[in-house]
Amino acid sequence: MGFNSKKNQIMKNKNRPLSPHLQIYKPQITSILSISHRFTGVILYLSTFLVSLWLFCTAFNSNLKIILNNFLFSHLGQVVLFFISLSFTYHLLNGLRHIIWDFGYGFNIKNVYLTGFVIIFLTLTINIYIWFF
Amino acid sequence: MFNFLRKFFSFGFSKDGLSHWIWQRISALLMILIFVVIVFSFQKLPIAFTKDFNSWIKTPINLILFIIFFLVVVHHSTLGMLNIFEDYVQSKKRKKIISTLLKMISFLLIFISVISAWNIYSKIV
Repeated sequence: MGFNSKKNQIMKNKNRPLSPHLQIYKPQITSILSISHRFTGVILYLSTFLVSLWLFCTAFNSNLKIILNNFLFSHLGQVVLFFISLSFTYHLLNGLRHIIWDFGYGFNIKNVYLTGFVIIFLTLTINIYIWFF
Repeated sequence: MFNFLRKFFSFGFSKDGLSHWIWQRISALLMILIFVVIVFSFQKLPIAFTKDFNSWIKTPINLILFIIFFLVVVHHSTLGMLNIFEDYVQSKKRKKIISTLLKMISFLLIFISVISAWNIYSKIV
């Protein structure tokens, strides 16, 4: 009994349950927006590598800079930049929403849904404006 | 009080959850503020980005602004990534290795970017 409970304790510590069970969590606007915030955050972290590389090329290697600029102005590069700007806009707007929540406003379910839809609308509108007008 | 200050000045990298939370918010607000200033100062320039970035960064205040912005961006995103690993990586050992690697990569990113920005600033055209 004693051994088993000790073993269970060790198992518990090593394999503690993790919080966001994405596979079993029912997709709703709230959960989708929450995981999108994290996902866009990861995209933005990766895009700092691109910014850093671009700065390095601009400063130290003009040949590499030309190659990088050619890539960024190609169709694939434009798609990459489009997703970065989409992620940036979404993360910024949803981040503002988080800060408003931190001050204690907009917590009821009606407001959470409303601000969620507003953010999706604004993200799409801003990006369509940036890229197509 | 001393304990609180010690946690606060770990810049969110200590094991204390409150310090992490506060610094994530501080860096987010700082980023928004600097981003707005950068957007407004960029509007004064014509549209060709690559060429204009070089002339934009040659002003000392813009260089400082850019470096602070990049520092805050990397700080905020490193804290965010650490949070993700905290939630999704089970093994404590693996979590420690990944977080150390992440901090090293972030430091390298800052180092490369600051050196590059300084080089562009000090280059004579």
